[in-house]
Amino acid sequence: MAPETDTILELDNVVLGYKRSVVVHGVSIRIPRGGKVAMLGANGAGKSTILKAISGFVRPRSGRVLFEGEDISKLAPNKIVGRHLIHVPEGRRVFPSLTVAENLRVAAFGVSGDPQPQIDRVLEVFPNLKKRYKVSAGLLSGGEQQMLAVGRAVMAKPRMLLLDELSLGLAPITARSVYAALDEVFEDGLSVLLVEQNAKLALEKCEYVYVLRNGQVSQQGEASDFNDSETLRAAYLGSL
Amino acid sequence: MSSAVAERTIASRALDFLKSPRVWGSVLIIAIGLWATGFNKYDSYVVSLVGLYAVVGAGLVLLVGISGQLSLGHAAFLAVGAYSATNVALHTSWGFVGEIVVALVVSVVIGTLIGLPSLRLSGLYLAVGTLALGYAAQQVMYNWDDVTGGGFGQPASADVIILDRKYPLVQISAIVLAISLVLVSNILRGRTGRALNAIRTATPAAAAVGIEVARRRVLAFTMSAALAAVGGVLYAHAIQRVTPEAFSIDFSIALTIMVLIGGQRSLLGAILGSAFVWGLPEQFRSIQEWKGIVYGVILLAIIVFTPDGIVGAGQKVIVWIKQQTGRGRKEEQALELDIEAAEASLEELAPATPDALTESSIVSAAPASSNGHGGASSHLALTHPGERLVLENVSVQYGGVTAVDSVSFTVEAGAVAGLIGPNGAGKTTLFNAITGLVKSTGSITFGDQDLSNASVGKRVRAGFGRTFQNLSLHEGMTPVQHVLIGAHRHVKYNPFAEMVRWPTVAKREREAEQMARELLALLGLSQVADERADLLPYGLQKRVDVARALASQPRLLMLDEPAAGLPHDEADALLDRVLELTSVTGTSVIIIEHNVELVARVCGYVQVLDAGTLIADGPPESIMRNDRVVEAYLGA
Amino acid sequence: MQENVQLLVSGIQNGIAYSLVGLALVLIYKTSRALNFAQGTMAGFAGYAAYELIVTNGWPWFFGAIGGVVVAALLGLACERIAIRPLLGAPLLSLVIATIAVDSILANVTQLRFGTDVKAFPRVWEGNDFTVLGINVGRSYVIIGIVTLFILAGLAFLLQKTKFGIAMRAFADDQYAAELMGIPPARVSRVVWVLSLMIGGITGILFAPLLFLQLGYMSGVFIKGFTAAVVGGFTSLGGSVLGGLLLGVLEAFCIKYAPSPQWAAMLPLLLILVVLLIKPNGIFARGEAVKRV
Repeated sequence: MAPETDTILELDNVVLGYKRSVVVHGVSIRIPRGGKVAMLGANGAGKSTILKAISGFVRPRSGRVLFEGEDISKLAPNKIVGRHLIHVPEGRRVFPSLTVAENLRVAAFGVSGDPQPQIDRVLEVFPNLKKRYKVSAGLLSGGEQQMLAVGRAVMAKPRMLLLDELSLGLAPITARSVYAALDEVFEDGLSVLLVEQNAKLALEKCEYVYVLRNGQVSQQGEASDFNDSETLRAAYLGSL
Repeated sequence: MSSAVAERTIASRALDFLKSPRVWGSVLIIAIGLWATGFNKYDSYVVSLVGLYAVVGAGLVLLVGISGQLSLGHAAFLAVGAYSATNVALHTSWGFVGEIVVALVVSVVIGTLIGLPSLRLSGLYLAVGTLALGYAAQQVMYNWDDVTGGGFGQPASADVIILDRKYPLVQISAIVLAISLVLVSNILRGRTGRALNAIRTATPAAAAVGIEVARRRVLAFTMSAALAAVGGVLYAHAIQRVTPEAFSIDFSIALTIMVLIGGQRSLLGAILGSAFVWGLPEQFRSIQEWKGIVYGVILLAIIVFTPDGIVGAGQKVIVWIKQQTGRGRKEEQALELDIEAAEASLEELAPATPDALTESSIVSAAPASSNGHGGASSHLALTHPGERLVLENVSVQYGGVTAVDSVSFTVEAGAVAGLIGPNGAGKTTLFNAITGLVKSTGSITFGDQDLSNASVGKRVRAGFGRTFQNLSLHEGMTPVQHVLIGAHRHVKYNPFAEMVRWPTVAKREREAEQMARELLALLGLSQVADERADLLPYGLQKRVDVARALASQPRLLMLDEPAAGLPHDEADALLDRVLELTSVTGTSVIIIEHNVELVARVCGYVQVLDAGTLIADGPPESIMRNDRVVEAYLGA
Repeated sequence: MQENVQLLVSGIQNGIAYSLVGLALVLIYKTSRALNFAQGTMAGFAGYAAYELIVTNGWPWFFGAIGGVVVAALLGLACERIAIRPLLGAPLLSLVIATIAVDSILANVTQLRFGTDVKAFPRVWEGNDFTVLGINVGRSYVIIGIVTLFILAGLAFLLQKTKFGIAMRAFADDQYAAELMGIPPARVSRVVWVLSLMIGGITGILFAPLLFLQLGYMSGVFIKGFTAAVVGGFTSLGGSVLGGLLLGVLEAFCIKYAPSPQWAAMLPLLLILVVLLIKPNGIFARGEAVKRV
């Protein structure tokens, strides 16, 4: 089979569940190399579970996850990091007893090479982190922690980023500033799958959209199609 | 008004009685005791030891297996019993009965004193605490010469003296063992055993139905201390000289290992474990040298492969045999059919109209006062009419973060209200504040009761009931048992009556089970009522969670994400059914959900939270179109 | 006054030992979430192994000691593989029992291999105890103190300055997030057990001259180190050091001033229990969100 050079990540009819319940009922998604794709939907729709399946923490009950043509469904998380497929988790999860500097350094654990160029780059994109470089991450504000989480992802020289609910728990202004900084992270060639509850923020950064409802893809299309607020509203709040 | 409890003939009751393991097991044990009287001194010593260790084991099954509390210092209680025996023999002429009484009194007092503070410790710290206590106790024994005779110890007679007659130890051991097993067995199948199991398998759920976690745990600790002490009395007579050296930490650990090897949740396991650990080595003298290695390897194998010990392994073998002979396949098929029937049944159930329900035994027709229970306490009334719930300026803060900010709303008596909001809005925190799991400021009133600072238990008693987002089912228990757990507060009798299975206890249990089955029938769970709930399909498991909540007779039922994980139609069907039931009795309902559509369909009134504040409330139609709500979900 | 200072010094001497043991236990608990009940027996085994290398095989003291430490490290590796890895995700109780099983096996092996007689372990540095400003300082304790400082310094260096050490701290903070960084949990677990047992081995060898090689000679120290870790909250390495010192000093004073011998033995333990009851997560542990059940 000829390699699909323009698809970097593919989910092929993936079914996911915890113990006895099925959370994701057969989802198929394709992300082109260099593409910025959003996955929207209310909570409980299965978005985070899908990201966990991609990064290796949940094994699909059926279906496959393919990264750069390779079936990674059964790989351990640290191997997936080694392939430069990086997952920024929901809730930030910075290491509270480590400093900003140490958080960044440890994020380069899974990849080889001198981390210093990456660190310089992260500090350039997020000058706030430069100011707090030696501070314990547990003392940072929510917004700073989110930037640190993204910064950590950059340290691993990602070819693809999975971003999980960046705006969660942040004040609207803070969420905006985090997203604004993303422009510099989203250089050409970087593929992104962005999971968000806040549709407007996500739509500004992405070209293609999948909408998830109750564990299935209910709608998909160009981001421009979703600028009509009624479509989105119905997707989240349902029709009366 | 109540349906007739099946009358059973005297003959059939007698037959059941004889068939029960309690009866023929006791007979068997006593028979062995009598037979062993003819053994030579050494062999009868071994049999006595196995017997008395099994008594201790029964207590540890209760404590470690059922209640889930680790004790690594239980030798201390054995010592209490042993020294009670020696001191009574030394200073009085009360004989064996006196020894037992003293042992019980002292161990219950000490057990309660130690049990109470140990509640604050859990897991690791409990293990450490009991370890330290065991060590300290041994030091006390060495130094408290007056009572223990110090390092030199105190003597005890080989035979047991009751009413001035001598009896061989082995007979008395057997009798004591039989009695102990019956008593513990009654506890295990009574409300205390159920409560302890519930606490062990899903503590928040147990607390949510009104089980007093702390009290039950102390009770379990005290009972196990008492049993260990009784074993200790027998132990004194077995070894005939009681010295502190015997009650080392190694000994305590060996006792715990004994029940683990046998099967920590089974009384049979206590006997098997005792026989294995204490009986076998005497038979295989040659492996004495290798004892540590053999036990270690076996223990490791058991922990890794069959955590339920020999009994668990035996059960696995039985399952395997069933599969080989095709019986297993037949049972599986029958179960699949039952499950299918149960799944389909929800839609086929007769609608719960007021007439249909009030005629059944489930719903009590007596009018409810705001703080009493309508009807006799043994009736498993389904629900009670709700009161008005008023929240005023309720806030929750921790770690400098305001998770819930001054939320106020009212849920009228008997109303069905919805609580929605995007992820992270604080719905769960608010929910925990209402149920009392989390401290909050502001006022919460239910009817005319101010529950603002009330404990979880008090709120449950006021009528709060809830389901769980993650179900919190009790591993290994059937739907019937779940409902009985839910009804815990309403099936009342004291532990002493429970131990001896007083007739009223048996009657209450029968009635309760009857009511439980009726409740399960209302939720279409009859076909699977006696299967393990945690092995049922997710949809049926959700019904079990609901049944448990309903069984606690709530006046305010809080449903935590009832639609999560279910396909549309199943979620709708379940919710409709629950609301049918609660509308008959006028129970207030609050539904916390992400699924806005579902909430809009069934709720008369909806509250919307975002970032800890109430941003909108009103009828569903107005909420769905409310700009602020749309913004909250889709982003500004 | 002089007497009290002497007591303080004695207490600190013992306390340092308890700290070492506590330290090793906390290392394992923070990463494997397991309690190594076999730590004392493994430390003892290392002592026996070193003895055999030095006395029976004629190795120089230091090489024999290193040999003993290597043996301890191997024991740690084996325990991790046999008892801990298969029980991933099991409740704490199961892991504790598993290590109890290992302890039982190893104690028996020790007896079979090395016999039950008491042996005198050769001292590395012969001579008398020191007297500083009128205070008696045990010679062996000086060595123990120096070694402990080295170990603490080494651990500090590892955890603060090396890539893997920082990864270990990250792992202890948040295992899920650590895996997201590409940190392999199996490797961290192995390294931690090896480190912890190396410390254990060192303790066993250093204490052998003082306690004499006999079956179970490290049990008492183990229990005390254990309680030191508990007092420290089992969450921080620094906490267990402080806990150990506290315990040692407390013990010294209690033995001297207690009304009778039985209380002397019991008091330190009871005091620790009281501490636990007031602060169930240890003195130095961080607080958690309020939960009332």
